[in-house]
Amino acid sequence: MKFWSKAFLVLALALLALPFAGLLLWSLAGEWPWPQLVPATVSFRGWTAFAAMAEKFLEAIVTSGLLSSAVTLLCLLVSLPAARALAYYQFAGKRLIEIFFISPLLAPVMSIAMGVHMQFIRLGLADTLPGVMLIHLFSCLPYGILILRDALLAVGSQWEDQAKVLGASRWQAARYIVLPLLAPGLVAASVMVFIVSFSEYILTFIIGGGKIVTFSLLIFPYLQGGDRNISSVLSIIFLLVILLWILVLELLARRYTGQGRFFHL
Amino acid sequence: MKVRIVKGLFALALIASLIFSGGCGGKQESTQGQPPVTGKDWAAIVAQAKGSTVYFYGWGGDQRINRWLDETVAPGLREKYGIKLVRVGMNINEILTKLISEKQAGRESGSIDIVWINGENFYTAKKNDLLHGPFAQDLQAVKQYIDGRDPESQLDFGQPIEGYEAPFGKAQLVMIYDSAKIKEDELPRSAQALMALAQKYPGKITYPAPPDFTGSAFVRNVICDVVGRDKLDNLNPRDKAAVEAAIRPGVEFLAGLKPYLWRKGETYPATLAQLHNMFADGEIILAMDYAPYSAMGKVRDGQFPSTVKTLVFDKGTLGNTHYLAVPFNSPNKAGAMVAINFLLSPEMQASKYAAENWGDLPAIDMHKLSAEEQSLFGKANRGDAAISGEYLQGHRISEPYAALVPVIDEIWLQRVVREGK
Amino acid sequence: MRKSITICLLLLPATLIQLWIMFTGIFSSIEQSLGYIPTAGLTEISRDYYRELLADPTFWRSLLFSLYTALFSSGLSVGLGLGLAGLMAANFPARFSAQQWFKLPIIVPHLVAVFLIMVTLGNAGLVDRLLHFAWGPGVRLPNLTMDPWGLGIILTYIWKSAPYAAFILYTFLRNTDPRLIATARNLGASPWRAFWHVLVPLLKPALGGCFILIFAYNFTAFEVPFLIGPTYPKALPVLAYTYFLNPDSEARAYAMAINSLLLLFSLFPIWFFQRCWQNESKEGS
Repeated sequence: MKFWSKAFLVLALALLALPFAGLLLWSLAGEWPWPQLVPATVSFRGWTAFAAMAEKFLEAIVTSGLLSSAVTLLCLLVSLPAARALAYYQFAGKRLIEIFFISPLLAPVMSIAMGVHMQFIRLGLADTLPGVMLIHLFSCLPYGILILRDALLAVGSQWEDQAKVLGASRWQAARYIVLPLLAPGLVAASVMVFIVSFSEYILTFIIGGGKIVTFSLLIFPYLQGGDRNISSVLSIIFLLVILLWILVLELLARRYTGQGRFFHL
Repeated sequence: MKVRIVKGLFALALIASLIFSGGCGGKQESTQGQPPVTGKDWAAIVAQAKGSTVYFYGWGGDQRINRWLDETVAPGLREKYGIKLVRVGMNINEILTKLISEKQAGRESGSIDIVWINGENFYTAKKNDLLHGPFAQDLQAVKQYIDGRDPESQLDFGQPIEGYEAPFGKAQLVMIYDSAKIKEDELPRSAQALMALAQKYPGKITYPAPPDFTGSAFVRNVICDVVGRDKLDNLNPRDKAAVEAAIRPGVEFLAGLKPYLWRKGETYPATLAQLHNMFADGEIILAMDYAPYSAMGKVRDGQFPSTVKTLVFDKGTLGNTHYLAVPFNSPNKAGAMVAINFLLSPEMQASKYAAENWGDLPAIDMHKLSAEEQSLFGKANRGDAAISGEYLQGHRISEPYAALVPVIDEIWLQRVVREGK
Repeated sequence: MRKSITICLLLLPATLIQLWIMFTGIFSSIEQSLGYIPTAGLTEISRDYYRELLADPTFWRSLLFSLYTALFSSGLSVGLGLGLAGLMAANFPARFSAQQWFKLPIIVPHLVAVFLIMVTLGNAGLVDRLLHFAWGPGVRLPNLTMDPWGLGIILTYIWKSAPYAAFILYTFLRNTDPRLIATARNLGASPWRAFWHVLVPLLKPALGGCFILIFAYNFTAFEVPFLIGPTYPKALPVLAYTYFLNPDSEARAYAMAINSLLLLFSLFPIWFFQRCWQNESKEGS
């Protein structure tokens, strides 16, 4: 029994890992005739293509990074008060508003985006960064609110009250007591929101109209066109950017709180 | 009392959003400041375009085309005319939808200056007044290098052009094969030879399933080869039975080919990209492409083996022309015209012709060029094994009326996929 | 009273953003689906677009296809996730680094996941080659990408969501009282029976919530079926998008009719999720 359960876990891990092997192989493969197990020739075509157009790709990475960071920050700012109300206060209609906050996870966000598109054109928000940020914010809010609500529940309001009883100002209590305790939750929310925003394709496309070129928008035609070398190189870079973001956040949080690892998702 | 909190909150937000939505409606930009470009003398247009930015929208799925536009055309345009070219990769359907919603929302100043377009999409765009024009006749390069008597400079898939788009390049269907795997006397230069080849190498041949653009053209081409191109003229697309009767021998030929195809013709690759990947992996021995020299570019890139060559049917293969147009609400029509003019210059057309760049057939007429300009094309490297432009031109059959395309695709699906054995 | 104002102020920013976008999106979808698109010259309100859409077999094929791929992918993901969570809880009682690897698919974007599945399970992909290597010619994977059965879509979603489900369920498992299992074991239950009859009923609300979240996403997402799905039938969101992109203004009304139906349909996951939640808080108290 023990053996089989371990074997199952190992198999599951292998199934998770195998695609990444394919990714690495294709990023360096030249000719890879069927049915050989490994490529026949090595080629840096994907990487040289990336280098040749580095300016364009880097611009998209910077656009994406700034956009998603801004969305993350805004999302935290808007989610935190709402999460606080849900975590620390009892009021009638609370369940209703909780369901309302979660509903973008259960409803077709893309359909809503097609609907608001016309309104966004009228308001001058279509094809602009603020417009894209707004629709991203909409699809990210449920993650922010849910994760922060759970984090606040786990921390509890007693520490903050305690600090205030001992004479700390509202600001001091927040800065020295709540924030360090809440850091893992904030990291988790930032990671999740950033990933959702950074990976978003169709909302960016509908609202941004191709004018706001994020990394997802650049990689999409290559995936659709079946260019395996370039697709794998871009996928690897995509994943590296996300991992870098997680790493930076964790280091920041660690420095700030002096605590160990989080990587809570 | 507490229920009221939530109710009140919703009401407040709803009112706020209503005010916000309603109050700001109808805000519009305009291009009133933009001077008109029609009927102006060319030097004035060039002067007006100087220092501006031109947004080029078109399909962005081919790395080599993207690179050519970004690294050859854009710097050239900047150097010669002081214009900055920004390429945005977008599928034509999406571009047209964008234009339509801008038109509906009354946006007079849009974001697109040049669209890469042809066929049915051109027809849709022109019908919906999405294009600026007529402008093509004002271009220097059109006056100088385009053959006005060429049917493809008057009709685009049977639709009159009337100066609303300028020819950019020509494409033609070619078969791609590996000369290390197929002997000279086995080459499929006709539908019959294709059948013999498939029977000799069962499971090694397939084509992308229509409505993939190239797969659909391949099906039409085989049908034309069997029944003759003229049988597709004067057919009413609405009369499916008549179309079916006219092309029956071709469809029966394809159904007969089915058992010898890859996986016995039960499934087909869904896209041309998939087909090319299978060909690169050596899973199949024959591929095809509507861009005649793209295979040579892939050889150069190392995606295809160096023994890869191309051929066309003896009775010819289908060809079409692709064009450039300017949207009705382009904020920089002068810049767009100068850029299109530049793309039609012998230098850019020759550079586009070279296999390492793109390998697209020139839209301009060789006979109208000076000897010096012609030599540019002689120098353009198309790859050693490429078919010459003259040979392609001599083996080119025109595409049938665009509305027939989906009808033939439908017949193929029914007779070959569903009913064929 | 002061407390009420505080709560209101705390909730206001998030509510405002969400309500405005939802309200505008839903209102505009319904308006356009009824043929009211004045900018395109359509001003006559009519139900014809719905009538024609509902009479079109393409729409029904797409609806069934979307339902089927979403149901299978979310059901299998939750099932696999449950098994994985149980095994992780049994094998890694303490924090263990191997389990961190299972988080990897969560951070992989759907676009990249599609590509990973293509090079792994696609035609002449890694698994195809491994099979050939192990058992020789003739042994081939069936067509798993862009296939009419949507297997590529289902596999991509499972690869993405099974580990996600496993992690949510694993957290729940670790928070349950270990004495429950110990008691069941002392009473002579096998580990399997203890898992199935003691833990799974406790997990039911979490299982339901997990299932419906994954289902709702997979039912309404665009990227995966667009890239790895068949040309026919198209998933419903892909069909809506195709109509949306069609330059014909009447096609836009059809797109919006599909969107409105999708929005209407999403009441079901919302209701279901709300029920799971109620059960959870009842059992929690």
